[in-house]
Amino acid sequence: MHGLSEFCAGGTPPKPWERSDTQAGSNGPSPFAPPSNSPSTAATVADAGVANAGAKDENGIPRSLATVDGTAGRQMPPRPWEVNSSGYGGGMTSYNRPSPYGGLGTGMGGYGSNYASPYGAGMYGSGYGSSYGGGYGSSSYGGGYGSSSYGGMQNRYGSGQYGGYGGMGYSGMSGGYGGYGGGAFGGMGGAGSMTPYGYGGPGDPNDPNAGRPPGPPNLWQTMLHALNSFLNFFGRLSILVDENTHAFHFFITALLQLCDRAGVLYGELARFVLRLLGVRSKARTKLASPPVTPSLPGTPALPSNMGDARNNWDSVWGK
Amino acid sequence: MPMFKTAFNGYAVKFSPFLESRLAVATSQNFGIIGSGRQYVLDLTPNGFVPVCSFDTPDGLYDCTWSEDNENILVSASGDGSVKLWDLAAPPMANPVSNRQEHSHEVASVDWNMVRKDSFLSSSWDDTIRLWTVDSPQSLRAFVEHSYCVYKAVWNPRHADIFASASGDCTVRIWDVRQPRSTYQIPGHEMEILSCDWNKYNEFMLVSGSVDKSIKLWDVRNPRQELTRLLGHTYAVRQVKFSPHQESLLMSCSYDMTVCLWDYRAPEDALLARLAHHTEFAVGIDMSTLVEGLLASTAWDETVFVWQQGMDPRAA
Repeated sequence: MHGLSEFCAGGTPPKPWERSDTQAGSNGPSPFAPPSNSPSTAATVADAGVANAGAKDENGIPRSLATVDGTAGRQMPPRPWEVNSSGYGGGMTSYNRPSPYGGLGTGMGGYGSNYASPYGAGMYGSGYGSSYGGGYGSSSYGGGYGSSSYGGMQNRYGSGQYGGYGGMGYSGMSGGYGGYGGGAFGGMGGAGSMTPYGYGGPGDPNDPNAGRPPGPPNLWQTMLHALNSFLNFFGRLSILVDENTHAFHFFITALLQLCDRAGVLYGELARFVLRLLGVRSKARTKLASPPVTPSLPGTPALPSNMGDARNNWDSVWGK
Repeated sequence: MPMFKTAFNGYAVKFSPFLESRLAVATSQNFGIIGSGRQYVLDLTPNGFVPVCSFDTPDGLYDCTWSEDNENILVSASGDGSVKLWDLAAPPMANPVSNRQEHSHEVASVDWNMVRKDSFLSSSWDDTIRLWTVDSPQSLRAFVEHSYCVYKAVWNPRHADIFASASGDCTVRIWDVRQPRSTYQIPGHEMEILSCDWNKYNEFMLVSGSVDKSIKLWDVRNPRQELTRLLGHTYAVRQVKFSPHQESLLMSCSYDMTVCLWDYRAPEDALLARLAHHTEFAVGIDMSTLVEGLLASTAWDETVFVWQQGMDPRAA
């Protein structure tokens, strides 16, 4: 690491609230333990014996986290890899998200299922199921994008899992792509190292390419990489939609309105084409034609505005 | 007041805690969905914004925070899961001076400890929060309890060991870095919580902003019932921030494209101002600690505004 520039004159100037006379917590006892006296956060964490808590061990399993629960929050659905190996969409439709758009989510669930199933059951089927599930199930990553009611969008997390899993496959199968290590492919992490964005290679004693520049990715890797990018795109899109469900609802509503208007438009167009083909459709509005009345002696001449209101006899008799 | 046009979509803006005219702006290409990012450092001059420097990154940037210990150090949260440290005094080729790759998914927020000033937090879509120092390339520890994306982690401005996190699992959790588990859990909203912040004058008071369009204020000692609720945004509330100068003043921005100022002590008339100067989702706000009433915002419309409270941001 480059040496950081030297400017440590006691840090920032006093904050406005530090200059204030306001006594923090003057309205009751503090629920927090008193601040530690150590000037160092690292020493504070080390003294408390919680250093590296949550870090992953060599198998990618978080330490001291066997009983993580989320009781205060909503009930989260099982992660896609915890459900089964038949696809990502399966567990999603059962998810009861506290959203006014539940119907919409359910509707899209089917889409999610269809979309995701090739990755679960197709190319990357049961043969990889165990390492895939194990590595990710135990990692601290818990995005669980399956939790979204917008099921079709969950594939971003699919991409993440898939990436790490791809790395596993490659390091195990061919062992010759150690230095590649970019993006989706875990590289030469060795057995069980499921780092989704792993950088394998240099430190790996099993890497036959150690010390040499990595070879170019083959077609299969390139394809997986492109697929990962594609899924990553939808993943981010899904999170953004998740953050802004109301705008998404608005967007869908606008789209439906557009389709509705398009229906009217095409209806008119179809009627025109049918007329050209000689099919007579019933006129939608019948214009009332004025009765043909013979002019009688003594009948006053039609007023000058009759050209504009030939059907409006009220204006005639009102004069 | 001036407006700056960024090349990419704005995501976060932060005033420097050392220089009253300096700002950092984190931006992402293509709305942060795909593409690269750029970290700007801008100086505010009588002639408008002057870029001091900018750093390009291979993935989008979602947040940034200034060091409280060194005026040249800046940290960015990247979409590739990395946390990047920049040193403005270092030559361009030396930046980033540190690239910390431990999160397995996008990093949503970073926040520097304002009390002890030697550490910072990062929160991520991988459901975890990590604690870092400048000196160590590895994180000191991870906080793994949330069951969904952690959109925000923010230090208590009065307590060196306490911080709060806001998550898509609909909870705000209060953590002590010395404790293995969170100390308080606030099931705050019916929908995802996108942001939270501490009151600078009351170390027990929190504000949270959610997809359910509401802003709620909490006393952490009573997590079952909010102190008050502020309604006015018409879409999800993306960021909330307490004023560093006035206890009851807070600022919010939303996917309804507006920036709002609130006084929570006037629940009947809490909305002080609604500013509609952005034409896309407003996602980044900040309030200067050095100049009272100096506000900043950025949005997906690729603009950064800085203005004095009470004035129109668009007024030249």
